[in-house]
Amino acid sequence: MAVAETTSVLLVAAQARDIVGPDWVVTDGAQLRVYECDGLTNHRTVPGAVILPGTTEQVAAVVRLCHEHHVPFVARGAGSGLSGGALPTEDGIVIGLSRLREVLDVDAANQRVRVQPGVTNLRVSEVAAPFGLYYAPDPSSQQVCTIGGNLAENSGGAHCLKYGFTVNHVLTASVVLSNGTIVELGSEAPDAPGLDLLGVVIGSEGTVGIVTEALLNLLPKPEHVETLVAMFPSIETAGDAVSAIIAEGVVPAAVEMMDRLAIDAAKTQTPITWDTEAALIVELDGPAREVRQQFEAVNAICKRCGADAIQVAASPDERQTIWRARKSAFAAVGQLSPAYLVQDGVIPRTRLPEVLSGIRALADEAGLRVANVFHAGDGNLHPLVLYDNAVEGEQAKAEAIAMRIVELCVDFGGSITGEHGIGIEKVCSMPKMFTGDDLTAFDRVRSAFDPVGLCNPGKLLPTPRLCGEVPGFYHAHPVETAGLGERM
Amino acid sequence: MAELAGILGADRLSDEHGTPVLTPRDAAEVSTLLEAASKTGLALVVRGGGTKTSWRPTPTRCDAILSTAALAGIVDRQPGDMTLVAQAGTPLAALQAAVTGDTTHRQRLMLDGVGGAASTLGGILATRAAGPRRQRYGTPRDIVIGARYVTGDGLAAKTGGTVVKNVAGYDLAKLLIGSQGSLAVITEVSLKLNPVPDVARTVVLQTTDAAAVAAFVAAVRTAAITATVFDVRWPEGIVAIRIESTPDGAAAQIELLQGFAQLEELSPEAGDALLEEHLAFPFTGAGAVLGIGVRPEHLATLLAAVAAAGGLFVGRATLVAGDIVLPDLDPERIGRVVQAVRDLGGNVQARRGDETHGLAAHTAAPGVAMVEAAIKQQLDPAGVLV
Amino acid sequence: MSLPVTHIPPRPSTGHPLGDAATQAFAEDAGPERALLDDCVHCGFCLPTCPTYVLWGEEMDSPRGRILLMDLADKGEIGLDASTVRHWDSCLGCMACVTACPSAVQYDRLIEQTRAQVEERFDREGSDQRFRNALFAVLPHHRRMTLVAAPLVAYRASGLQRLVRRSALYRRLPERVRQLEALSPIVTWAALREQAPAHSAPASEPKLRVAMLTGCVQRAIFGDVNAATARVLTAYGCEVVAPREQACCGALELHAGRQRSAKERARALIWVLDDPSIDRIVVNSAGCGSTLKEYGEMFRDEPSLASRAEAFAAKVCDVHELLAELEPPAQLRPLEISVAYHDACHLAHAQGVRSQPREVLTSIPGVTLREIPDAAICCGSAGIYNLINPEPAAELGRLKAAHVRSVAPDALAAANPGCLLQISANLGAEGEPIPTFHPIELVDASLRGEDAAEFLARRRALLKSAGSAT
Repeated sequence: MAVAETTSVLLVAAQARDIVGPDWVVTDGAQLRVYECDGLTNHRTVPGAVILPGTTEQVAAVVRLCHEHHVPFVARGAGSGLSGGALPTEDGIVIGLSRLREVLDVDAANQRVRVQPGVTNLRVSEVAAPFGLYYAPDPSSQQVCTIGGNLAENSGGAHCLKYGFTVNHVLTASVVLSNGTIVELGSEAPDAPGLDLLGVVIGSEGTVGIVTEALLNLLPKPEHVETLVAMFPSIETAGDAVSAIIAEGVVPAAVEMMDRLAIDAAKTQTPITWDTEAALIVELDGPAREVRQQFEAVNAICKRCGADAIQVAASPDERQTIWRARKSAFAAVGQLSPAYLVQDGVIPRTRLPEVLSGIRALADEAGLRVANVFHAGDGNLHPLVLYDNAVEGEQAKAEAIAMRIVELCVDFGGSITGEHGIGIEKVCSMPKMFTGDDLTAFDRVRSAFDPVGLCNPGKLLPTPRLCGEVPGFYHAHPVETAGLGERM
Repeated sequence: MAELAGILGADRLSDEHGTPVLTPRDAAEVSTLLEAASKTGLALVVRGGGTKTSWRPTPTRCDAILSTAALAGIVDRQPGDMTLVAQAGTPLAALQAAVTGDTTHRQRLMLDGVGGAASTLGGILATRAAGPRRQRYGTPRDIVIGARYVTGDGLAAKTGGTVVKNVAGYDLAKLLIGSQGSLAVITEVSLKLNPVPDVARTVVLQTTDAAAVAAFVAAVRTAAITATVFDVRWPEGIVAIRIESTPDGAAAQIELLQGFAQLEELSPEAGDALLEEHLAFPFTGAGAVLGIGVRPEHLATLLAAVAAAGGLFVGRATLVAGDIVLPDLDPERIGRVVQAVRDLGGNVQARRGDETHGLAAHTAAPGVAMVEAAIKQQLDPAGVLV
Repeated sequence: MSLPVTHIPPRPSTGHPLGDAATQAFAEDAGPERALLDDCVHCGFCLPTCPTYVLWGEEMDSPRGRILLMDLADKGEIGLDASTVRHWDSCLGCMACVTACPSAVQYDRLIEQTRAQVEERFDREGSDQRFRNALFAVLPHHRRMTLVAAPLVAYRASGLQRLVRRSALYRRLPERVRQLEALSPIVTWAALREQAPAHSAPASEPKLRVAMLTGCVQRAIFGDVNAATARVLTAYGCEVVAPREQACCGALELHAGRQRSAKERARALIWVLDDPSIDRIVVNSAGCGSTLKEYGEMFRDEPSLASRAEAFAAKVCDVHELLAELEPPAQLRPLEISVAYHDACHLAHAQGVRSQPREVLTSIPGVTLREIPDAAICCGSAGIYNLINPEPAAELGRLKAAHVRSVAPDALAAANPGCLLQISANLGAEGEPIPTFHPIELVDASLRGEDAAEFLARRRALLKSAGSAT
């Protein structure tokens, strides 16, 4: 780290003490270490300082300081992201939003709730519950992940097949831009004129500004929910069932699949007794009689497609157990293997069998195990590559496989990420999916929001320093040509 | 003219009442055209079916029209994945016919064909047009999963993809939807499809009591009803609800609705006709047309204001969004309606009528305007797209 | 309800590393186990359940952050300095994170192992050390506890407490002393006097023969709860022995990193309570119960005691676990009370006992349960935590009281003396006091045919007399 940069960070940290109070500026070596990574632990960088503002205005004032001193900043929510989106830079600061966690207003009449970014996803549904309402996006980490992070990643969850993603449920957001200006994006009423900047900010992974407040749309809780788990002799037959359900014209609230290894992992955490190669979880919700009628059809389809057994959740408790099994599967894989990588890729649903056998071939070739947990309804795969970090070279092997899996997804017309984001993890895979011109257009939009390049640098878009020369992309920024800054 | 003809070839150039019209055949030609226009400082107006040209501010200058008419056709359709990729100049009606015509798969495209048969996919996106069925399926931003586009200076790029779930890169489709062709020319669009329901049934409530309408709407809003259409016509005093479901599901919901108020069920034909009527509503009459949106709680106040101004309203009852058709282009009358909506914290967009009728162009808050200007500068630095 | 953001930072730990602890935090082959550290995948599921993260939102005061600090210390990347020790000190040991963890990280063991090293290798500043020593010189000894508590009761009964709290002098008292003083309201003469009989038996043939742990704090200031427990167990058909010579189980010391003395107490308790004729060892204090259940693990490496300790631990059960198993006696009479049941951390998180106390309470005719929002968050008592870290403990206490009030119960029930003291102090702090009980007291009241209104009024009067100026 250059001396000049260190001085700038310390200067910002020192001045930030007056803004947020001395207790909320972290510069102590050991304390900084706990911010060195988020949920993606194989990338670690100790930040120059961590600042924990308590209000929108404090966030803006800290960002203005950064702007003034050319210090890059990374916003952090719960630090549960899986693509390293909150990975700090050593010459920059982390702006932690964990203290901005008030539910500001529950407006039941208009079915919306105003929250600060540090409020957890689950909390939103909790405060809405007394009014018969809920917040639809439900990422598996919903008890810990925050709304700020959800907006940054455009989080989905198991039920986005029917209900869409975060971007479909946010009405307005207060955003602190890279120069410290606070802007209000979106509108409380429909059909605002002007550009849909909110639509760009959501999913921008913290690269265009920091969300400090959001107005979220709530939905009435469905009248009725039915959930089943169908046990299939193979992933392929389960995949056929998914296609058949969709072809029937049913839009389930969720369709999830787990393979044997993932089921074994979930068993260590939840009292499930599934003993099968592939478990297909199908949930329907909506008006009771519609759900019942479609549920019968789904049941019949599963049987027709070769399900050996079908277990129907008979009570909310049983439903919860099924979902706990599904949602704990990621972390529970830790019980089966000393280390593992979580991958996230999307394929057209109909290509499921081909892609899964491709993944199996890759795993066999490398001699590693891969567990599969995925949102089958929308083709969002989550292969978990198991490895032993004590074995020399195994982590590198696992990382290579994980990357080849997402490339496989692109080959089949899919995407390198369905919900975890690009972050730092997949930044060098972007050219697999996008051309140089595509990336240039992205970079131009980024520059419109953040001309100096201070917001979460090095994430989302590849840079030569990280990924080598990207053909047709990368144009020196005025700040770089002027010698004022350098890209990560 | 000669200069323009030189860019794409004379066969791509025609004349319309003295204005040159350029009709590129593919994205590469769009790119060539825009790059050349950027260098020569031409101003181009992008046009699809030309059905909603009054929805945008009148261009201050126009050297030529860039027509997307030749960018037509389905590029790819995957019924198993319920996705469709089509060129931006494809008329929506043709797309919908192609999708619903495939009776094996029973699917449909839920963009509402506002503007009639000529409306194109690109035009619907550029104007962010939506109709009654947004109640359930949302607006173009909820249905589009990816796009190809050419920026004002000729950069041909894509955003999103062809799968229904994808968070790689910025979602620039959101930026282009509603941008009125001011940033880039959309050349190709990927879309989600939906299944065709088993049955569709429509019930209507007739009352001229605005408070009663609001109470009914509020009650239904929290009930176990999944309506595809939930529209209000005012001051006619009609609330129409279209339920699309399984036979049992529809029956149960209609029963539930009957519990809230005395409702009349329409025949399937009459139900479809009502939907068509509402789709066409923003294009009726000869007076000003305003696209408006207010918070749900303000429905009754809005209805009263519309009636007081002598206008007609057809819109979505719970969102609340829709169109107001006024009997004339009287600036005073327009001003009263605009003020009423603004007083409620609502949004107004001119569909017919302009500054000369008191419909000032939208102005963004300073910070937002700064970003909007920076985006325009980045994507169309020469200001080709007007 | 959304949580208010506190502006009280964690109390700094003062002191310095001993010997080579400045560079090598933990002694060779000591400190947190490497395999347990590696179990953490950094997913963050523990964050929202951690009381200190709830208070401050700082990563280093979350289980994930503390584990990362342990990991770095174990690798020799950071030393045992005050700024690091502070974050381990600020942990309440409530184990809500253990419940929340999808990777089954044994944080409870990690923090105990770490604290043991801190006690050995970190020299606390004089006053801090003296305060801790003083606490451990009193708390585990029920007779000394009584000696300390009696003047407090007298002091409150005399009305002096209210005078003192209004005085300027009171406001100048160190927070730690004020906290000690504020926790006294619900202790009564009766509680100090009463205790469980050494032996009690049902009229008919006993279904089980059980030994009862009387505890240290519990015995000293909640003797009436012990007496009630013995009565209830007898009514449920158990023969109960409560040997007088038993002493503290070692829980308080174990959780504070004083492993050696904790182990000595455990050893002594096994000798006193264990007897082949005993079917179960019953505990009515959550913190003690969880420690007794760990005895097997504690003596794993001591061949002479290992199997006996394991057999002992297997017999241990919380009183509610036992009652939920047994047939409720016919003489349970209606007690029309709405009760908010508070999950003591060492019952819910450490022992996984959540449903049984609720079952026991609802087995009383007339009792209705109210669930407290954010039930998983600790009340701030946490053993001696509220004495050592009074500011955050008080903040958590206020939060818990606010959540309890939000469901407007007639009474609050909790099965741990620390929680009862802490929540009572905070519930008394503002508004009409909500009386607090051990669940067993409610069962006992029902068995004795108490009138609900009178029963509640008595406890309420007690709280009122304590008054409050905090």
